[in-house]
Amino acid sequence: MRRGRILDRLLRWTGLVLTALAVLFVMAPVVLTVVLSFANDPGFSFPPESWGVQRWRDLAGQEKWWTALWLSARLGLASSLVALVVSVLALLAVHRSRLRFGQFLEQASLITLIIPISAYAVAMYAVFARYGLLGTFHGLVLAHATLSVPLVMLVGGAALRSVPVELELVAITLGAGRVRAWTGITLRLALPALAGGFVMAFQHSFEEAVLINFIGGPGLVTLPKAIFDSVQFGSDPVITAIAAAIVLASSALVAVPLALARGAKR
Amino acid sequence: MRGVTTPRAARPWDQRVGPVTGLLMAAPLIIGLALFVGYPLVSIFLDASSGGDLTGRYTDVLTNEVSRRALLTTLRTSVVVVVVATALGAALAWTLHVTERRWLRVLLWTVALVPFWLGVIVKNYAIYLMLSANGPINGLLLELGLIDGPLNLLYTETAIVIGIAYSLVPYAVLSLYAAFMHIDTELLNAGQALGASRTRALATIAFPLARGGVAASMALVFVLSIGFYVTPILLGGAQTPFMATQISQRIFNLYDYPGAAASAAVLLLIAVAVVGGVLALVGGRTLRKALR
Amino acid sequence: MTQTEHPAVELSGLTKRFGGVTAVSDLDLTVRPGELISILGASGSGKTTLLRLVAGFETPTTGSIRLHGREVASLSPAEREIGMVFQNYALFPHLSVRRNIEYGLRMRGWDRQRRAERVTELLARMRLEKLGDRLPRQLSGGQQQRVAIARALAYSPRLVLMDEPLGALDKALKENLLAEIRRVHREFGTTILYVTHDREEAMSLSDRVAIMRDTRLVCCTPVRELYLDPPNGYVASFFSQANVIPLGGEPAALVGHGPSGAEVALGGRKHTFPSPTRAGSPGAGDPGLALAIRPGQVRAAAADGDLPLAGTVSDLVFLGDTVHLRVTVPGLATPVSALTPADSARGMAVGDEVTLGLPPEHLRLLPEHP
Repeated sequence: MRRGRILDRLLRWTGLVLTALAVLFVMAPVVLTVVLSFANDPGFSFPPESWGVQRWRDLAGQEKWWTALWLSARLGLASSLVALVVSVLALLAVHRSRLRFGQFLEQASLITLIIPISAYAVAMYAVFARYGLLGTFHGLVLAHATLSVPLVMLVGGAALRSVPVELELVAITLGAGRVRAWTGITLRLALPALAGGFVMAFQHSFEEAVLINFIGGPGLVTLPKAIFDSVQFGSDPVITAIAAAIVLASSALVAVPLALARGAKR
Repeated sequence: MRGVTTPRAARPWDQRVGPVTGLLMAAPLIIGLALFVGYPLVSIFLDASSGGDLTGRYTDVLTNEVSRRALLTTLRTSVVVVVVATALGAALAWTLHVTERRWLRVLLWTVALVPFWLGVIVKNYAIYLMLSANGPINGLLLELGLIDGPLNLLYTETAIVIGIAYSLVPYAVLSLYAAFMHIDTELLNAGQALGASRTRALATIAFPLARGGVAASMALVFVLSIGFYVTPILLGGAQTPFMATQISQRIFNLYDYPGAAASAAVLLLIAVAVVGGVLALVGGRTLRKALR
Repeated sequence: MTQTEHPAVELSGLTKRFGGVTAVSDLDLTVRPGELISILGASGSGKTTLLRLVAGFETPTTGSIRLHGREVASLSPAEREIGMVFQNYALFPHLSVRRNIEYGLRMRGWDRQRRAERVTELLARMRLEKLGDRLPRQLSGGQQQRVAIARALAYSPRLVLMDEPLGALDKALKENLLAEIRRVHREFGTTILYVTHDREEAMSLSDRVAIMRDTRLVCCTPVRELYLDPPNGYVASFFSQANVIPLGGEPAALVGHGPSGAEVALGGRKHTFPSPTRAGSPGAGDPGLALAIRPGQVRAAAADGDLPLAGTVSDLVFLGDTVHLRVTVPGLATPVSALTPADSARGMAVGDEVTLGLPPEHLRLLPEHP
């Protein structure tokens, strides 16, 4: 009995310490980045010796960041849109048609979630070289869409399953055609989840930093690639500002699907 | 009118559309999976054995001094990552599961998801800053007088572990939370009411229920970890070779694509073995749940 | 031939199998226009499948479905001109009450003005005037179901199908909505096929009740007749909640059969009952026959002329003016129920030996199984 109580206390403290450690572990680097972006020192030191917005001003003035941002944004939008359309069509085929291997297809679409990304990048490199897609924008769109499809399939599949099938049946008895019932009722009700899936896909594409090194070629520099190159070949203090900007933008981006999810639940 | 069959009578109405329409709707996905997932994965193995050299490059990956070291480092690091990420993730996920305090839930969910939403580059850059010679950790240690000069924290295996674990904590939390979700905390209270200590109750009631989910979560973290590319380069540097860096060097510096393919194939096989092992152990449903 | 002369629903030889499992077998049913028919059955009896077949959500394995004289096998649910009401209401959660009711009219291409008029009329008739702009989640369960009914009636379909529409409501609301459905049926004159597992709903609602058991239709009879003169033992116990005493030898047995009827021995006395029409030619001790009597007609103590039935009181519930007795009788698998005036059971307690009285005029001789 006594040993049990000591063990209990030990366990509780271990749990508390681990939780606190996890909080610190996750939050410290993020906070540090934002703080350092407002340092005016020429190099890094902590704590900074002088404060200011020089790094943000530099960032605004350097065109390569804006070019990279623009490419990443276009790439993210295009690839997420492709992933969304492909996934929604496939999900409807799986759940609303007499396609025999639908379940299998839905499972198979998730495969890229569990393969080591660098192995996949090697594979894509060779295949893209063969397809003539290396270093092309539409090649990148296809590659990113491929990585985003499982995200949309997971989120959208769960959403589609959660819409009661009776709603569609009622709509059909009331005179709606199948397609009208799908779009007007089922997809309409799955819309918040699909929007969430779209945001996840966009984010995934926006941060992608592995494939781009293999299949982007020299010409296509996305934002992560630009930062990667910059950090690799000597650090530029401007990066603290851009990292901080991404931290802030991501926080905003997190809020959107959360709000959407809450809206959907109500 | 009785007995007159219209041509449509042969095909009664069905709520679902026909298989041909379904196939057409699924065609973009099927074609995409074939061209951009199936074919590339198959071609790795074909390329690794190209030129009549069936197994030579695999042997090279496993015996060559440099790539052997890279492989071992990758596996060792990933095992440590699994331990760290699972420990932190389990603490977070369990607290999230049992706590009733709203502010704590919000804080912990934020903590769990922040690394998920930051790009991999930004994450690693932030850790790079943390660990750098004049970063806060060294600063703090110097201030406290614990060390005389800055420690070399960057470009070590530890740095890689920290970087990868940072990225994978959210995966651990989400998959473990899914595993814990079905454990009724009332069961634990019941166990304690029957005289078991909290530890005993956890070990005898909660753990057996969560075992499958924990295994699936660990497999997921491991498989993702061995593929890391950015972290080893940024935080590991040249001193700590990783599989991903090896692969990249083979392609872009040595122009040895088949060699790179063999390395990638080895990674892929390890991943398949681990996932397959867990699949056999816990079943597909648990693994699928861990993915969400 | 004019439309009105056709039955609203005509099912013949209707069978539905899912893989190896039969859900509906060889079912015949005819429903007159304007009739309200309940399909009553336990879960798994096939009643919901029957409704889904009529709606067109499922395709019959064999047999035919004619609605208003038209074979509908090849018609989609939209072309069958039906309204559908589900147990979970199935209101479109993203549309207001008004929009929900309007949906079918919109799909059927009514112009804006006609739609608005019709929706206003329906809101008034379903007493939903003030709720038109609410969303379904802002309504109570009963209100939601009224909206669902209004939506189903909106474009004046000739047949409305209801699948356990009151299953999710509590008793008070149920009574309320039953009255509402009766009123709607009277006012709109729509044919209604109403699936339920609740015999009281079926009894209070319908012109005729169709009872389903194990994928088969047991009977389809006007409700009063069904209750007072059940065609067989299953219906007697399931619908009339009657005591069914098989003539298996103990305590009741068939001892003779003549032109005047069948002679039954019960509790040492004999009585001759008219032979049931559906029985073949039962011989002595035929296990296919049974006596049925409703609890309200069983006397707590046998009087002169009653057939006596001795047993032990196993349960006694005081209900006010009446007392519900359950009496275990040797040879019977289920206790005999008696609903008797409280006075006649005064002083009785669980464990007492009693001799119940079964007045012969209230006993029915009928086939035990359908």
